[in-house]
Amino acid sequence: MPNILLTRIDNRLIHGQVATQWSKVVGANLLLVANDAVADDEFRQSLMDMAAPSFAQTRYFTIEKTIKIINRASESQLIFLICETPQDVLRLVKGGVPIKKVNIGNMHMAEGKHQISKAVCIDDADIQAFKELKELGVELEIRRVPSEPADDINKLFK
Amino acid sequence: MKNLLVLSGHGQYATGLASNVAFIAGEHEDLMVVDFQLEDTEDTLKQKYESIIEAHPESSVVFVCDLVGGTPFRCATGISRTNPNIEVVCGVNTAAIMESLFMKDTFSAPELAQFLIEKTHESCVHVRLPQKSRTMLEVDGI
Repeated sequence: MPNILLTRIDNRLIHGQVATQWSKVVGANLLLVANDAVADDEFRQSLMDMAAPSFAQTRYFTIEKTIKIINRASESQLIFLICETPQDVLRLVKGGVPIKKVNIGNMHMAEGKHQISKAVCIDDADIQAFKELKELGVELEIRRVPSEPADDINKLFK
Repeated sequence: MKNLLVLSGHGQYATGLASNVAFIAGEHEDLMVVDFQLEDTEDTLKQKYESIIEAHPESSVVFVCDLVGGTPFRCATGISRTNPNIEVVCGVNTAAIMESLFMKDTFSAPELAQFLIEKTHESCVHVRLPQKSRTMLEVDGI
């Protein structure tokens, strides 16, 4: 069973808040970005490597590859899984990746989305994905940075 | 002993830096700001520093000033001459301040001052692309 300490939805993936705050608070030694576009983009990977803390390694896998090899993770790999969207997290969960808790960090404003929290904007497709995740027994939390209190998760469903 | 960080500099350096740190690390009550404004004098600035120190008799204070030789630096250093619980550093950056928030109370004030300087040096970089990607250290695992 892979040691997935936390999964975060953050459209900026590995950036300041993730690299300097969450990685440390979670106690991860492996930051796994599961994202189809980034898995194929060495430039974005190199920028994220620069942001990542020195105590953690980084991996950039497609969703499919993550599903395929997550169970080969070693005992000593303490994984912080980072995704861009709830849809990607749902694909991972449905593909058998043992995700227990999802922290929702940054989901930026876009056409058709409405703001439900300081840093979280969602549309109908997101609501649907969050509902499915909840039904699959995944714990959801809206929290931008570790030192701030969590926001009401019921906002995710309406 | 608890350590307070007091950010202080010319103009809105302190409030700007505090807002910058809070964006990434959230709000921290042990991080305080004193702006040196146009209407301030050396005396009013010193009074602001002293009122923070007096309000926290149980704490050591590390002043993070913008510029060696500037008035905030001079006022803070002046106070530190007669108060052993005060340290002064200059030119410290965001990365160092954020990192120090995790562990500042495990240090004495002089150790915290040294930590801030070291972390600033480490995180001050000239970015050159392309970066070599990180070596894979694990043999087993993913």
